[in-house]
Amino acid sequence: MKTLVLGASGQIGAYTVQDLVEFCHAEVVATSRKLGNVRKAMEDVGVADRVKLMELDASRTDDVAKVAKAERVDTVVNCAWYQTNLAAMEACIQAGAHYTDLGGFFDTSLKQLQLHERWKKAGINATIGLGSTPGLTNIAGAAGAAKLDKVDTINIYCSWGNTLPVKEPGWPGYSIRTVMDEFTQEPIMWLDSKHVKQPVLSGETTVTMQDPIGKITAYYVKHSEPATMARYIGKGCRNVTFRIGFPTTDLATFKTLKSLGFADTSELVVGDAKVSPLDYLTGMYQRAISKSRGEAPPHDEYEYDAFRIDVFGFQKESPANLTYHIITWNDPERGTSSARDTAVPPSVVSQWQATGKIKGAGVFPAEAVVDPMPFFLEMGRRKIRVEEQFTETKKFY
Amino acid sequence: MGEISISKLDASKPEMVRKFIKGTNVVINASHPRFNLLIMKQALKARIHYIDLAGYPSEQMKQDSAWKKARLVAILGMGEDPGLSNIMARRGVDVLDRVSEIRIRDGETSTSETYPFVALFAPDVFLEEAVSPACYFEDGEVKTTSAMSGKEIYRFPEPIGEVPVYGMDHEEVHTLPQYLPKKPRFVDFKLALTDDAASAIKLFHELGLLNRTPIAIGKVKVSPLSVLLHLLPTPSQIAGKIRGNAGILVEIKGEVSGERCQQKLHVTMSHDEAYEKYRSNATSYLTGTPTAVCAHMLAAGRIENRGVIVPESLNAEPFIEEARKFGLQVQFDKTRLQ
Repeated sequence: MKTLVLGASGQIGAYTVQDLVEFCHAEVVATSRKLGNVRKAMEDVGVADRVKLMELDASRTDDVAKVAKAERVDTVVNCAWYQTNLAAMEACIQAGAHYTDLGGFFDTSLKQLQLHERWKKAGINATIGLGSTPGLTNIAGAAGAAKLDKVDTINIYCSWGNTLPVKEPGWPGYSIRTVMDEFTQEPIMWLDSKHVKQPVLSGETTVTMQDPIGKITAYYVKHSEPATMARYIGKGCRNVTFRIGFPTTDLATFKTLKSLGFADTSELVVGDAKVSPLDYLTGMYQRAISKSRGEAPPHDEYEYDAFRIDVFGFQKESPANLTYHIITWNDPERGTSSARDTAVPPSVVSQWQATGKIKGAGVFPAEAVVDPMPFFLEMGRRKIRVEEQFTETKKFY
Repeated sequence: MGEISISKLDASKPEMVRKFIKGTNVVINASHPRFNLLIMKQALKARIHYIDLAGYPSEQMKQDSAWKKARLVAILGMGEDPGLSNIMARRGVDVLDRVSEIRIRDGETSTSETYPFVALFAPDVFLEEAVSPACYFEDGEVKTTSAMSGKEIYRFPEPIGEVPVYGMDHEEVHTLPQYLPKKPRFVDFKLALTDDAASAIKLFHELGLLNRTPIAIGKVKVSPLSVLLHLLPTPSQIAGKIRGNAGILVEIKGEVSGERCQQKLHVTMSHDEAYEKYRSNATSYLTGTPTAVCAHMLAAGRIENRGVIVPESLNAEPFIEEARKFGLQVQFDKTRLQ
């Protein structure tokens, strides 16, 4: 199997390449806009001598298609920023390569799904939104739905943090650019069988996550799961919600960054330079990530990334629900929690596309085509732990 | 009332500074401390007294003999802290036979619906201080700890109350042990920061946003700090839009007539009061006014010191009396320790 990875020097991409090489035994072409960046990233994750390096911009369709054809890749994994998804998909059509990515932040996801008929005709598979969330969360929703006759509601909660007694502000576990988007764009939830816009950071609720996390306060955030899950899971699903429980210090600091204007793209004049605050923040964040990735691997299992997915419905007319807890800890061998649980899913899907385990030409979200049980077992091999709980109500009256 | 005229001045350009200060009696340097030595040099050449609000005393003090010879005075760090805090320490020490410990606490607390992150004095100086290693003086030497270390919840006089404070490297730690007439065994300085402010500053630092050196991001090459400062509200923009108080507390432990005692000198002002009376915020008023008091006393011939000096070398009681006329009500409490 041969895979082209776009955005391989990014926060997630480097670890996706690592998984493709070490677990999937794939031949990988690792690319990024700057050769120096991808070289350093591959050295940091210890695979530089086992991959081909290349300079490539994911937004340049013709360039990506040319490389994909020349390298005769089976699959393309797009780990670059979600706004490159459509351009990268177009390149895959030209090259006849399967495609996966980390998610489209709702609006782009819907545009990607509209390409279904073209991809069906081309005979290739695009399985989109394959990180931890979206990705693992969609697959968990599908897993729960598969065990029910009817589905009413799917609620998804995401949280991260650490178990240290004194809470320091942490890095976002995903692109700070996406964080700024989440703090500025109105979230859209699937409620009463329709998409409904909500105010930014509304929908506050308290939910109990797996021990030792306990109770968290979570808010609606714009995400791809409500865009696709009801339609592709079906079974009458009326509600799909997505919330993030930001660690308290992170919530405050992200709000501060947003309120200072770092989420804005309008250019400021600073001295002789014209600066987009969001672009500048993203650039500084990427520099900091690149610098920290070269440091010693984590030794202590105290940082976590955690999800809870509740699927409510009916089994043979009795109310039933399934709860999935997914938790990933920092690990000295497998690396940081948030990078790992986002980087591994697209690697596995890419392998399944190449081997035919994911069948079906067209464009699909993860919940439509990924077989949950074997997928969860693959996650377990990388210490991404999935647990399923089933609760059924029986009435004796 | 005096006259005020406004000019544009680049403090990094010696010729421009020289022309600007010509014909004055005293130059008050309220610019970034990195310009101190340049401005001092021009002031000395022009035979003008000098006052600044923050800087590098050990470096600047090397010019002491030149300023003494010129029969001029350069007063370093004459703001709120350093500045009024040093004078309050001197006032307390003057009535003691022995001094053991001096603790200086800056207790500014502010909230704003408009601005979740505010820097109530020069933002670049504030941020640099916050992420630099902290210092304290103990048993004859200055010791260094990590930035924002030594967090404790400190009780200030009302209305400030209990607030979290963090260790900083501040001028008082270096100068008080050296220039007070009675030498303390221990001196430290801590600044109040809300948990949210401390978290935000740590994230700015980790993101590299406090770096002055221009960095190329895409096609843009600009200093990260300048981008951040551009987005931070200036102290003048904040005036009238914040609630809370600013204040300093100087606690001194020592002995008088063989008995152990503790003194607390403190001054507090609310942001509302500062805005109502002076169209300012309390921190800015507490910082700028001691400088004005000093210049006023210098002009009136009430400061006879010459050379390069720190505020604790001035006569403390007359200064505090004069400061009270400008609205800075310094309070002095003394208790006997068991």
